[in-house]
Amino acid sequence: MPLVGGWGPGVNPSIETIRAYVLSHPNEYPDGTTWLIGNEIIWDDRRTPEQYARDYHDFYYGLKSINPTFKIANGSVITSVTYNRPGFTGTPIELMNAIRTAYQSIYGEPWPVDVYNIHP
Amino acid sequence: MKSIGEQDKPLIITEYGLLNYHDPQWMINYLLGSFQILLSKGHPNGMPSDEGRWVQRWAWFVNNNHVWQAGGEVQWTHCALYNGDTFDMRPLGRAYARHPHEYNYAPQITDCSLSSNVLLADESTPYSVTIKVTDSNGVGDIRSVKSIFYNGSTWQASNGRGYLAWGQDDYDITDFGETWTLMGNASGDGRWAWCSGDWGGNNFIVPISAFASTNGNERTVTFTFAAKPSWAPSFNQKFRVYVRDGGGSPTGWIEQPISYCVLQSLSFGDVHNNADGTTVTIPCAVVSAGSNQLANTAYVQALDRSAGIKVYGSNINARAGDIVSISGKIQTSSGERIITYPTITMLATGSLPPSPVFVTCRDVGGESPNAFTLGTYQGVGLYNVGLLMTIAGRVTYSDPTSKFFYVDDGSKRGGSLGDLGIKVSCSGLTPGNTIAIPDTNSSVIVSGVIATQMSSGQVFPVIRPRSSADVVAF
Repeated sequence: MPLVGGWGPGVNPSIETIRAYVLSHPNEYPDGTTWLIGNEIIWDDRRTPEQYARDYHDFYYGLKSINPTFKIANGSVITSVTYNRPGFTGTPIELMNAIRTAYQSIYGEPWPVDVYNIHP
Repeated sequence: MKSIGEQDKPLIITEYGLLNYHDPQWMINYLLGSFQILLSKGHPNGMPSDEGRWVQRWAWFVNNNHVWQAGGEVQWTHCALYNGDTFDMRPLGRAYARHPHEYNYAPQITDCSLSSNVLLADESTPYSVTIKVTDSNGVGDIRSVKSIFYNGSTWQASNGRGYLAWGQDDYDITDFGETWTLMGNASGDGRWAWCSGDWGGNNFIVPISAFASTNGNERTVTFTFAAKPSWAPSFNQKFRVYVRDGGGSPTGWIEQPISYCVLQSLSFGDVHNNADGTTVTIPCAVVSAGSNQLANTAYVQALDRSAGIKVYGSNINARAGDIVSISGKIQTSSGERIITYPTITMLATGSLPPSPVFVTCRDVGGESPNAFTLGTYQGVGLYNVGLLMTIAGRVTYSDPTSKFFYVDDGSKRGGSLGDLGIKVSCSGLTPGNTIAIPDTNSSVIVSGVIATQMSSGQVFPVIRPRSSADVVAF
């Protein structure tokens, strides 16, 4: 289960680097592969919900353009903490709602999540 | 998921584990308990297309102990599946790896047996304990089978008399501690060992071998051992069995409903060599005919079948197969040595009654063995009054009224009625226990204990069947 798009804005590898690698190693990324966009988002990487929504959008559509059968999961949300980070303060549910609201506001569509990912 | 309108999308847990230290078994229980929750179905707010499960995929954290260090101390080490230095799989990792995708079934001990309720402590006579176990997840899920002999007192290591183990591999034997002497491959499959650090070590037993086999979902493990003199004499000894599966549902130490004794000698033939009125003690004997078969009577015999004797008294309560010790006065009654109104101590119960020995009519009774014991009329060979025997022949005389008949196989042993063979007495039975008297000229096989009756100053051997099953006419 590959993890990309984490640990801060402007992360590497880029979608184009990912595309080149996936196309050259198709057996490692079969149809239906689930990709994680970030890890313990906002808590570890200290992004804001808005920034995460933007990064997620780029990786979601970037990965879908490589293979539309890929499944995209949010970066894990820690469900056992109250967030008190520079980018966000609130409960895990409030964090999910903040990302969802930001994404809707920026892109005019619901936050597209194929698989939900948590760290309890 | 349901509240945000995403109920039919997968929910995955990409990390979960334990923040604080717990002992390995506690963590295994936690891990497997969480699996059961995560695998559970039918939740109204679960994923409809996944049979209502709450979570579709999950991963334990952490895989090995080098994921993260802070403050110089390795974090997460306690719940790592692997040792990051050696790459050995830790107990928690094994439980994780072996857990089947569906519900884990606990192993079931279906049968346990001990080859004898009496162990001769000579360091050489082999005895075996056989354990049968089933597991609905398949025999591959039965990782280890262990057995501890102990003295039947408090369940603690100092009371152990020997600890034997079989495992699919050595790690299955050693993974939860103790000090082991690994014996290599078991016959059949797997490995075996004996615990050298505790529970008696090899102070009381000689570990000999282990055999393991499978049949469908059943695994059978047999340990063979010998008893050492240091274990004897001991009575009411017990053993327990423990089975661990790959899914972490061990049976615990289950005490088996079998008791046994350990003796340095099985024979008691010397008790006959005492004058009437002497108090004698038989430290161990097996009951061949019980007081539920013969009225106020039991017959006991040595475990090596070297001697037998009648015990008589209204206080007798013993059944065939019981292992007993006896103390009482030896007397002579109707030419037969008996122990009257003895003190009987039950040493073990539940074993099979001894099997009778087939002899010709010529050999029934035997010669006098000593100055205090009368031989039988026309008796030849070893004295065998008191032992359980089988004879076969034709019925030469039948008296249903007096409940006896004679059997001859050509030996033409003489009796009070002439050369009719050996008398079979079907009287003196416990009320309600009846034996049909076969017709004259019928062919019969008769089993029973050898007794005597006196007539005209002669001691005639008599065989006493215990029940109708002991007289087969054809």
